[in-house]
Amino acid sequence: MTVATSQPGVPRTEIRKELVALLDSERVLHTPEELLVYECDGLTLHSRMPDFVVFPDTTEEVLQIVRLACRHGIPFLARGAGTSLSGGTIAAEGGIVLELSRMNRILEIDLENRMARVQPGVVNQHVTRAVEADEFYYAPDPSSQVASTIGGNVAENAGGPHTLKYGVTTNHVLELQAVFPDGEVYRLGTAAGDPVGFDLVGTFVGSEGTLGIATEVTVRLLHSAPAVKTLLAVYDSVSEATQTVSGIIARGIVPAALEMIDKNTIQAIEAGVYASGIPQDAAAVLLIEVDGLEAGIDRQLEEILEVIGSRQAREVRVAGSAAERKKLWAARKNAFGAYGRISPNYYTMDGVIPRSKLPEVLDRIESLGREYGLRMANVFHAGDGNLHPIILYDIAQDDAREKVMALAGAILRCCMDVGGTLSGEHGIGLEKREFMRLFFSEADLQVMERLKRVFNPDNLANPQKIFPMRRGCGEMSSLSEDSRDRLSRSEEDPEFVRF
Amino acid sequence: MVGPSTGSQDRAVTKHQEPAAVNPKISCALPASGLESFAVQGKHPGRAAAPRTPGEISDLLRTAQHQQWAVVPFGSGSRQDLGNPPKRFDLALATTRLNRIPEYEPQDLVVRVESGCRLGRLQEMLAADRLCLPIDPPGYGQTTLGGMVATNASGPGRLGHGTLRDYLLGIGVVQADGSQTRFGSRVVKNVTGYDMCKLYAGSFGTLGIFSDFYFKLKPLPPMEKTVVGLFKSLPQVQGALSRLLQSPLIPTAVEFLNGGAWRQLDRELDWNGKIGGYALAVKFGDLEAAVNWQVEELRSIWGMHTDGDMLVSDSREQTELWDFLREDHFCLAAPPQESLKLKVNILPNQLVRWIGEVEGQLSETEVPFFLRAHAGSGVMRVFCHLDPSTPQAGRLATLIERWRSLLNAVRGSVVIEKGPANLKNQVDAWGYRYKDLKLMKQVKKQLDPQEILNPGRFVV
Repeated sequence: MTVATSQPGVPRTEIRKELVALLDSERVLHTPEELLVYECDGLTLHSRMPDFVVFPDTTEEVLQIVRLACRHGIPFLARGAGTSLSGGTIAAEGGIVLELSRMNRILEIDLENRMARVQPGVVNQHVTRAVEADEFYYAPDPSSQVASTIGGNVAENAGGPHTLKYGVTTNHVLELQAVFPDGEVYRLGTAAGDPVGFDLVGTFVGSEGTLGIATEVTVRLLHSAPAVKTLLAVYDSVSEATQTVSGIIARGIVPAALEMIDKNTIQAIEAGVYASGIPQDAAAVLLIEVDGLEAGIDRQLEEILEVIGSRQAREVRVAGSAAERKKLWAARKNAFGAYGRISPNYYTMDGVIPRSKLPEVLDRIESLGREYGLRMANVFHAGDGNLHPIILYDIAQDDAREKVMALAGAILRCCMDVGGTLSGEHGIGLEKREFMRLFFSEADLQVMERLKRVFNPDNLANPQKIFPMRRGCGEMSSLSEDSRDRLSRSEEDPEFVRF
Repeated sequence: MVGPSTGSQDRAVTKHQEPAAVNPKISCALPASGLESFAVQGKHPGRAAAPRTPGEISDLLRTAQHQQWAVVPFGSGSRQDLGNPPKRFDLALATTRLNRIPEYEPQDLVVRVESGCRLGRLQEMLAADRLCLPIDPPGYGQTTLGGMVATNASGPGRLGHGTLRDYLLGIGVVQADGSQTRFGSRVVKNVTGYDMCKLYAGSFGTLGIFSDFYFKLKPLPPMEKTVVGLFKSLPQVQGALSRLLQSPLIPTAVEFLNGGAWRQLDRELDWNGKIGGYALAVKFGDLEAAVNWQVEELRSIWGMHTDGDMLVSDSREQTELWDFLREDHFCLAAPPQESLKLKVNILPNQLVRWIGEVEGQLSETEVPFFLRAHAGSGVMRVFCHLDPSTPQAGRLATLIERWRSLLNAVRGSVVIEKGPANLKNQVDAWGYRYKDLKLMKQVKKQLDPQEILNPGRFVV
């Protein structure tokens, strides 16, 4: 069934010639020096160089490249800003990377229908920038939003701090245009009322590039809330902070954001350029935001302050101006960058647990860190129960990588034990595919594989992502066997494309 | 192109099986005397069963595969008018016994419910903790969660709260081949594997039998108030809607009623209200200060542009109003064989133009009709009372096809949600002809290769 095996080793030069004929030579990268920067993404623990990186400008060009790839049995995947934290844009089997950064036009803004139609390479924050003068915005706001693209956000079903109240990417995509490996362009979903038939938009969002490539995305726009209040509460104890989180939710308040920052993260932030004067000996900080109409916003704030008052917060700061608010958020959104100041390397994890299990899971993670002799930090969406444990390490140390991976596995198991999941917003990618069996049964995986087969029967669209390697003999074992075969062949003979 | 292995293997297996027994024993069978209650659009099943567990569903589906029975999942039956009549109907799979609420975590705003549980019962339990599943479809008290997920149900509150797909966190599904599967979980954010909940929500019982669901919950709003605005003309409605939807107000529902629907409502509720041409009912649900401010703000931005408005804030009166707006029966007073209900999916800003078109074209047919719409969401409903002694059904069939082609450019649709057999014989209930139908057919083929689940009723 896999085309690649029936046509072993198409000469590289031939493929390049065909790509250049489609795009011209400037838009086809092929030398190792050019390709090096594409060997990994936000997940630096894995790397693999693609054979080609191409820069299409139009849906038609994407279509022609996908047709070419499928004709020759070459794996392909799309890449935007390369900020994936799960290895989503690593060319795991080589092949062609379609870099969509040139497809960065906002095609249509329709405020009456509250939507915008954009190309996949449009940067998340640029959507909001294009409509904010009219008091609209695009709600999903991953921490990477100054760089990450809508196409990537769709592939990963990106979240962000404000998804507690407003939902994740899938709740904000109305319609898609996509190229599938059958060499056809399809439109999915609709902005006109309810779509009819299976929800293929909902199926596509979060499929991590394993079904096809989105070439146009129609997103929902929301009215900016006229009033926003942001506050920071500083705690001497983690459990007082987590109980504040539960207390707020129990009051029937859904804040726009409810973020928690732990001690190690506070120290990292305060050592850097986004220092905002948080006491460095604090055990935890909550960043809480409520939004809505002017009328009622003070009442929301009062209720939250009441909950905080009933817990032992050391200090509460309410942002008095937009500038102060920005500063509070800058600390949170740049936390990841700040870890560089306290550790040579760090690994950002993503797991979700029921909100009510926060205290016990945070304790458990801390003791796991001690057990493995690794420092941990944590900055996460407490309101959603979406944890981002950060493992701080030094790659130069012996066994660092193995120890980090073992600790990561233990943390994920701990999330599973309390009824949680493997990922809330970073995706499975290469990173967690071998953990999928912790969450899914063989029957569950088979259903998803059957779904994948509809769109991507030859496993050429972003291979090796999401699904675990098949073990033993099974009807679907062929895919991963093939890919191993292709890899070893390519290393023997560099003349041939590695797929 | 699509991996053919499953299909061909299954066919091969079937060929070598023993010939099917005429009437094999099924464990959770219901007495034959009650079969009429499972009729779907005039068709009766050969048998009915009511499993208690996913294991029993699994046994039933394995038997059904073996016997090549067509299975129609059956909850309260309140949504069985939807879609085309079943092509075949051998087994009604009733979810009546799957009616437990096995997990409820108010502090996490999450509940796990079995598919046969009725929405009314769930809401009652949640309301005790000031929580709700904010979905308000017709058939509110009776409808089961299974039926709601299968149809991705929604009601007037969809403007503020979305549809059921936005609340479905996890799902237990027994596959057509009998295997028991589970996707998603009880946490509110999850990107582990494909988002199968989205695929199943709205799949009309054609991809698997649902055993149970995890839903995300919301707090009940501390206060609700409603403003009903009356308007003489459509341009007035247009102006009022634009002003409302472009303002910072956050209504949870904006319902449009044409004159006929408004008069009917006024009569049924015994309001003796002012009879206007058109009405917009706008609901706000929020903290007290926010609700009161919005009510005043709306009255001021509508100001001179209405033919009068009324504030409905008394809780009994308001509940009555929204119960009526949610349910269809006040528009569907005609006998089933004379009632037609259409759902027209359009771009939200095209609503008033479409109301004008539809009113004009229906007036020419002399068919009595009502119009209602979830304004701001692009969902309009058309209710007609057809006279079976005239060729009205045929004329409506022509109109439906005409409207469908007008909506092609925006991928809109006209769905027959309820209609007499002589109309459904002439036009497909869904009329879905876009290119991605090909993909949908392949999804069906992969997940139910023998087509035992709800055959003929959906787009695939």
